[in-house]
Amino acid sequence: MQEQSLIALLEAMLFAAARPVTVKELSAAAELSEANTELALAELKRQVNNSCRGVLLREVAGGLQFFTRSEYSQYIQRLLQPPEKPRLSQAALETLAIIAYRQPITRMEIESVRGVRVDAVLSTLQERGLITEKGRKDSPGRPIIYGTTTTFLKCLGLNSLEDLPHLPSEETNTHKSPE
Amino acid sequence: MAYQIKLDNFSGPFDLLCHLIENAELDICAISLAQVVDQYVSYVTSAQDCTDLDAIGEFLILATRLLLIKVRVLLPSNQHVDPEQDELGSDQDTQQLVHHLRQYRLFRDLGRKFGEIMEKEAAYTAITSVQCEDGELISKPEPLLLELDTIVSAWVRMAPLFVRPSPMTFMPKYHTVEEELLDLKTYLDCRQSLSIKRYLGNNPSRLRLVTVLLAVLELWRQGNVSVWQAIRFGDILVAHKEGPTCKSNH
Repeated sequence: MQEQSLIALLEAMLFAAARPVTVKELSAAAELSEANTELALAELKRQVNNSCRGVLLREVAGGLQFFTRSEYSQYIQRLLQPPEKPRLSQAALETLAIIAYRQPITRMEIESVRGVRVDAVLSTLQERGLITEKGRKDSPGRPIIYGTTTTFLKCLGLNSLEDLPHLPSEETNTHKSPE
Repeated sequence: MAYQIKLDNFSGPFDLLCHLIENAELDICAISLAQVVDQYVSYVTSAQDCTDLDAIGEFLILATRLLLIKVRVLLPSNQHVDPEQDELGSDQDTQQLVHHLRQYRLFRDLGRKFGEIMEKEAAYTAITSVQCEDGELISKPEPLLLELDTIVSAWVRMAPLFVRPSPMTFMPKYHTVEEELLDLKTYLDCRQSLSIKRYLGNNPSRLRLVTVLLAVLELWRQGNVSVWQAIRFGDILVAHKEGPTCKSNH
């Protein structure tokens, strides 16, 4: 396949998928090696992102997805008028940060960091699809453990959890200290 | 007018404490804690908006820890007291609180950062539905990722909301045999005789029939009444052996 038509194929696939698609998925569908797919994707990304087009190709949640450029956000809002979600409260954001960095984590462990009950906040975060139950901890009472979701990665524009802002060294040093 | 503090403005006791320390431009350490104790306590005690007892309790728990720290700072240190046995707790408690507070502040700041990032990210609209040139929808909005576990746990959470109150059945109040006995006695006290048919009225329930019959039999057994029945399955007449005791005669 010609390089240009390969790039066009990947563009069409990414556009049609309308969700983050991995290199593996693209290469399998296009019957190409992952290395060749990656090369073509890099070129596609360069062409799309460096031009004056209204869309961008971004790496989120472990895959690639087309997005509209942020500068056109207000026009798009006006056009589509999506239902507005209320902003997350400070309590919800704090809880989300604790879960993101300490996952998998139990409700009790979150409460010990925040010093308050977090039942309601956990429900809000679950309703928004930002966190999910990841199973149960193998300890007395077998409490539920929580972790973040793909939606969380998308909402923060992260490719994976490794892309979370690094914690200051103080926290990493004191992480294991007794509560 | 007294300045009213809104505890609702803070996401928890640590948030309030951090706010006080930062307001005083202090770093989080044992000395800073001792310096803001009074302020913290006055904030909590003057909070009039908070009606949630659990929430106010959380603020009070921290207040007690802080007061203990202040007492320790104020009292001259006693070298002879074993820190392990010290009623007022040890320096370890203070250090633990300092550590806890620093950790909390870190996550609070990260949370704020998350909020900022999410706000910026919301400006990018992901393309979530696409049509082919011929108009056929080839990509639908991303479905919710539902797994059996998620559905089951959601149901478990929701189930209590759907519990309908069990339908109420209003049972007519039935007399016991003892109560019926008393009623019959009172009735007979004022009358010459009693027609069971009239006494039971129209369409009496089976239960009432049985209760009244047992009560009549009991009265008869006690030897207080005479009982007649003219024909089989006919009306039963009951009368006091001595005639009515009450003067009024109906």
